[in-house]
Amino acid sequence: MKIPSEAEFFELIVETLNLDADVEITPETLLFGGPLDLNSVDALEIGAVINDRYKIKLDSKDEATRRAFMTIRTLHAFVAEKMQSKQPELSEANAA
Amino acid sequence: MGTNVLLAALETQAHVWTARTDAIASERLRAAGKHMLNTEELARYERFHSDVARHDYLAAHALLRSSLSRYAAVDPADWAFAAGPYGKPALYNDPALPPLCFNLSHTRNLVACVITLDCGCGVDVEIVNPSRNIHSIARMVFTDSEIAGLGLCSESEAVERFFRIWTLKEAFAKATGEGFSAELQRITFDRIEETAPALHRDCVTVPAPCEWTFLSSTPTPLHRLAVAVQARREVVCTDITLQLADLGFAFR
Repeated sequence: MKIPSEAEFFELIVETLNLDADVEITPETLLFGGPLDLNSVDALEIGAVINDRYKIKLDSKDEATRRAFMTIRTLHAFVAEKMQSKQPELSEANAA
Repeated sequence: MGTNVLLAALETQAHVWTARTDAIASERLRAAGKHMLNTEELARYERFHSDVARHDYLAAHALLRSSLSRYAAVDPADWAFAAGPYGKPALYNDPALPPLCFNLSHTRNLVACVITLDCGCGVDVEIVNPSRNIHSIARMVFTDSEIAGLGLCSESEAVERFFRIWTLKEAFAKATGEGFSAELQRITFDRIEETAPALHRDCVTVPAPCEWTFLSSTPTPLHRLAVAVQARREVVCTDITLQLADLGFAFR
């Protein structure tokens, strides 16, 4: 499975969150505790779409996972690393 | 009802105050409620990009403060908070005040807070949104039987059932303070369709399931609400009552 680019991942997460039109979000926007008003169901939605699309199961009790949910950028980096560790041959395919 | 009568009622009750945030204009809420916020709350309020998010946040915290003031002679703006275990918000420990516990929740157009006397408590409100990916979410936090139960329903029934179960789990997780650290896939309930569900006896991760009292309700046709209360004293909380607070009235 191809590791998504940050842009592709960003688009997926923003579409999943279905934010109001007046809400601005960038890859560096804080997902929680910042300008968005996301709740726990939103966090689960994000986890669910990552699980469904990239077959990566996120453990909400894991400290590294919780840190990854800081921004879409940090989440993308986390998911990419997980995907890479599951399929090391991907790193050659993505580098090509 | 006077302050002392309400406080006395908390000996065997938990009170849940709810308010419709679309029932008060933003300008009026700002004029009456913004001064209640402390520095940290104000900074959080200012960080929201969306007018709706700011309105809901202010309504939630104004509801909490004004509701607490029904139980003690403290001005809403003067309540002080601290972080309890797991970072759960709690009242600053003041021996001169009754040991009130609280929890707060808000969603689009509805805010709710639960208040108890020295009992752990949690509340969750959600707008019942049929576009949520309920089956995928359920696979992450529901038990196998709960997931199977969703599969046996029509889609509209499954949405309703999902939010009944989710709000109960979330209220429980907030009551314990564990939040996402809670083992939600191992928490399940009996009497899901009733107003007063109970923890299933097989919830082995919960040390004393009989100490817990739950409320599940539909405060509006579009919302689901659940409350979890854990007794800490010999008297188990026997009743969780819903009170409708008029945010506009609170500011007269």
